[in-house]
Amino acid sequence: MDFSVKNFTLNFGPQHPAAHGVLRLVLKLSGEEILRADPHIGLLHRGTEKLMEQKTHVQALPYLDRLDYVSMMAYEHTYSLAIESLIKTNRLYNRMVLPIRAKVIRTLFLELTRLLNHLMAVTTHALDVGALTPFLWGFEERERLMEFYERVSGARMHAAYIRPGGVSMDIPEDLLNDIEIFNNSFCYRLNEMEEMLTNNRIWRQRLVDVGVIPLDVAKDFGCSGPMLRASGLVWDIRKICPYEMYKHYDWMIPVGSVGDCFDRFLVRIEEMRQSVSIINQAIRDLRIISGPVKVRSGKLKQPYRSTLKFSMESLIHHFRFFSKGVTPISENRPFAVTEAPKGEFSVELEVQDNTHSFYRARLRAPGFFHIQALDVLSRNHLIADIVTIIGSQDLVFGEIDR
Amino acid sequence: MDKRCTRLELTFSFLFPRLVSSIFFSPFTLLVDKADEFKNLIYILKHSFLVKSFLNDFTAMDHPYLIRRFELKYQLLSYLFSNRFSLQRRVSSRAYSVDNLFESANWLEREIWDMFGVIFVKNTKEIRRILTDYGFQGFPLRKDFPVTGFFQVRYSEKKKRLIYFPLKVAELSLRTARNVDNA
Repeated sequence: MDFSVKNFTLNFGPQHPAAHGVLRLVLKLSGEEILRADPHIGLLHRGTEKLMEQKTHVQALPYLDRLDYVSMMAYEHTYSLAIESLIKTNRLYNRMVLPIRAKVIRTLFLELTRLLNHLMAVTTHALDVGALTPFLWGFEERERLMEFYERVSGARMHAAYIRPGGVSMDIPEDLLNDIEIFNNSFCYRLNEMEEMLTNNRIWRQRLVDVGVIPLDVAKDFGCSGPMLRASGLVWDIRKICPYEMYKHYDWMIPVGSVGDCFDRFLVRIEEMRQSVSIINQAIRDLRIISGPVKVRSGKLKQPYRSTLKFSMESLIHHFRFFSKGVTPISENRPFAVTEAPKGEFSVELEVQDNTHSFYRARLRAPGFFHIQALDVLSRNHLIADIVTIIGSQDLVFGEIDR
Repeated sequence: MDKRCTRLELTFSFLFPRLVSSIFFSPFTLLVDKADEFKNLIYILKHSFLVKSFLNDFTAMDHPYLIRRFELKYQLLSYLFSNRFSLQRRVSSRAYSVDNLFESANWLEREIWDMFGVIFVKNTKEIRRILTDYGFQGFPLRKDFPVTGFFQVRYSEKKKRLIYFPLKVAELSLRTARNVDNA
């Protein structure tokens, strides 16, 4: 008998629960085999870069929270680094140096953020593939992490806690103990999750050798973070160009070998274990180190409320800071790159002389590069595999669409 | 910290990449104006043995009062020596596509086309709008594009679909409003 089979096109999304938000994926299929996947992104485009051009340096910070709404502090941290490099440091240098306590707090919360993100990534990935239980467990832990967010900043998600010149306020007294209790029990939660997944036959059948991205292809697509490490490159900006306290802490970079979905899963799990170790070290340091959590200079942060009534200079700084933003800016083009949980996130700003807003703000979102590789990753796979691949890429459309 | 490096410095960094890797946070920037020179240089940066680089980021900036209005900035990253190069070009409205060299270039070029309206010629892949809506007109990141845009969108109960209609009140952009405020 003779069959003539026609290729047909299928819309995946934009309202598909496994699309992790608003992704419209136009799939060209031959039977169940994917010939071409064409992601249509931009359904969550809010014009962050344009909006940042309208704001002062201070006002633009909360936009960074809303970029990647599952790892908030990592993004505002990168922006803070960029703003800090904006300041002329030759004059007033001593007053501009970040106090060490601020650095440790930043490191602590960056790693908590990494847990927050990877928990979301791994558990929703499992949910897409069919395992509901890790999702429920993981979100219980995420809730605890967001509680820590709330206790330092007052907001569960969009914290605006890490700010240029330090962090917005010191951590509450008993928070460290609670983080430590959480941290110690979190290892067991991870073990439970691994018991459910890692050697699970269904999980392995769905993930192993699915969506393989070889190292040179991953590099060529600009992949970063767990996507790149799963393909076998030891590449972590926290090691290569250490910022904050990472240089002083003892931790390792997990690396995959094949570059399939299963490797990405394992890399994320191991990164969480490393984060737990970093958090422990940060807690240990925070118990010893006391001191301020902001720079001394009033050019970079708002002055303390208590000084406002008595010091003329503080009053001027207060006024300048909220009306004009960060004042003594240098001519250079500030650039900061960090290892966000999803990959390499960089902020590049262009500042004009006369205005107090950015001429151009560029945000390099790691997910934008990952989803571009989706077409290559999913080629000649079955429809069910594309859900696995999207899940393993850890896509969040807030940052991809910007 | 943005440095404009000289040809000599660039040659130096080709020869001794280890020494310049400390400037990871501050990419070397090289302004290349001639199209041929740019093409050669980016080809060398991609293929040379020592600094085998990949396109890590690609941005543009709009200077509306210049003839060569758009400043394109290609950021190349070498994984071997962990350093960055930036190649800058000033173009009026069109540039050569580099998507035959880098896989990551296609979407970045689509984004630049979408946001700034720079046309990329000799492209090997399709370039269409990426972030804005289907049928969107105008280029949002240009300086002459108001932050409010030109159209509003709402759901029409009569037509049972989303409709676009022009902004009823000519709203000032925030930037204009602030300038008025300052004056």
